[in-house]
Amino acid sequence: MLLEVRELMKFYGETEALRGIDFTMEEGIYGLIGPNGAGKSTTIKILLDLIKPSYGEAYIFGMNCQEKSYEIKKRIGVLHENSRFPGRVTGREFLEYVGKLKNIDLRDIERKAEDVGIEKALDRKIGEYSAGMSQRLGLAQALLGDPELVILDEPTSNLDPLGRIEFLEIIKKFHRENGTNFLVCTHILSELERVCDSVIVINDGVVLDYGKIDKMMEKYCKVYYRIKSSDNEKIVERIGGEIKGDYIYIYRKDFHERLMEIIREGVILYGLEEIRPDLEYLFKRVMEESK
Amino acid sequence: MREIMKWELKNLLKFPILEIIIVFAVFQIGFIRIIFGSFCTIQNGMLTISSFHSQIGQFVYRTVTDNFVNSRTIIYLLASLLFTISFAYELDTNLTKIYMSYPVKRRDYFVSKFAGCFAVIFLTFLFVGIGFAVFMDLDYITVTALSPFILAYALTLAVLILFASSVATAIAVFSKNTSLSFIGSFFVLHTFDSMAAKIKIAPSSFLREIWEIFFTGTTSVKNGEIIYHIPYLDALKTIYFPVIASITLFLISFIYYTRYFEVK
Repeated sequence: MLLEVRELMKFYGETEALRGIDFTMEEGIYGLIGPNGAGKSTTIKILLDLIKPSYGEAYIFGMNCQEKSYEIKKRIGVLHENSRFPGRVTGREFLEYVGKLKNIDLRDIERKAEDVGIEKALDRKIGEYSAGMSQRLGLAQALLGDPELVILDEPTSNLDPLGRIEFLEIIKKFHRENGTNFLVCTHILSELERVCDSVIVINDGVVLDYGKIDKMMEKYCKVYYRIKSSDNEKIVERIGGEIKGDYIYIYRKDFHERLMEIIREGVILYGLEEIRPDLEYLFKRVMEESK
Repeated sequence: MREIMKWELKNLLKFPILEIIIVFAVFQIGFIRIIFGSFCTIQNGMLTISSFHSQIGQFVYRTVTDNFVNSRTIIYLLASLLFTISFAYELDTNLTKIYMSYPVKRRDYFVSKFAGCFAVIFLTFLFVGIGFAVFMDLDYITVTALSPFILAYALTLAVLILFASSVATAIAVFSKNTSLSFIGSFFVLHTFDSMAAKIKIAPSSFLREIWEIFFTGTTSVKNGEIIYHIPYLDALKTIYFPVIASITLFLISFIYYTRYFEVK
């Protein structure tokens, strides 16, 4: 087990930021998803010992995050939300400093810069970087020294659509080639679906559910079908489902034989489409179930 | 810790501190040199100031101390600025969050920042002061590494900067806000300096005492040469109180930063 969080609570005065977070993370790419203010960043800060929990414990690699934070940080990489790196130094100077703190071979800087696509900008001052380049630099510093776990907090929030796709591709590549594990914390779910194999759904300071995406889909969402025909009422009467606008929505699989019978009776089928729910739908369903 | 300190110095020196001080020093030294040039170049070969040639000695003594008194304002300004950048501004811009996510111990991080800022201000002003003495041709004081002038200057500078640094650090760490830290530090230091002249920890009080002790020391003549006796014990007694106050403030900030400080 890479990461374990037990009954984590955090209070700021009377405000309850976390109300008892429990989850575990195995190897892979995990998405920590939830709306703004759900408690994602607070959880990450406790994992990094930036803030103390009011109650509960967190473990990374079996070590307590508050007691062994120095040892843990040697083995992880982090990219924080809205990271602004020191503008007066060059990308190379900054990465060298991070490399020295992590006690790694400084030749890794060139490799990581190349991997994230900033090798040509390494000797430029960070203050001259665009938002996209700055974010790539952030990814490079997080990946320096090939950490076992990389925590990314809203990594694509200030990137353009193309930059987001490229960024996520880099994450996928590192997981595939180096076996690096990622905990990606975001509220942009459509992108997360491209890279994650598991999700942790968090809302209002509690974890609603977590696990492999396909298993969660099975649990919360069913594949459904959208049909358009010359006689929607007849189909609904014989098969079931509901009519919304010009379409019929059917939430079961065993209707094909009966549908063929109706077609043979003269009803014209204009379209039949299998709809697979996405992560956004899953998130919505988990939220609804928890109410 | 060495790496953090080097990084701190690198970052601080990228800030135009030296330029600010050089402009200030050139203005001060140049101004005095032009106005009082004829007095400054007098070669009297004396080791003491007030005991011999009292008129010129008193004048030069006052020029040196008054310049130092004036430069306190810029020391307060720099201390407020550097400690604000180092602690509060980095917190405001999320840099602290980034740096503390690396394998860095909080105590090393805090001490490196404090020592880095202290070293930058102290060394800059030490060289500006020595440059001032050399440029003013104060050779009756004999500017060597252990001359009373250098010792008195280094000691007062160290105590003053330690005091300013402790106050600025405490305000930066507890306020966690760039504007509040800068304005608050400068306001507290400047107000304390000008309002509390009779209190022993006030810089305006202990600085003058140290200078008095160094420059009104006793002299004796041996083999035709005048020997100057520095009353070190009296000097230590003078700095005892401000140093204790500075260390106490430093420890409060250190304990808070390493045990209770939350990077939000």
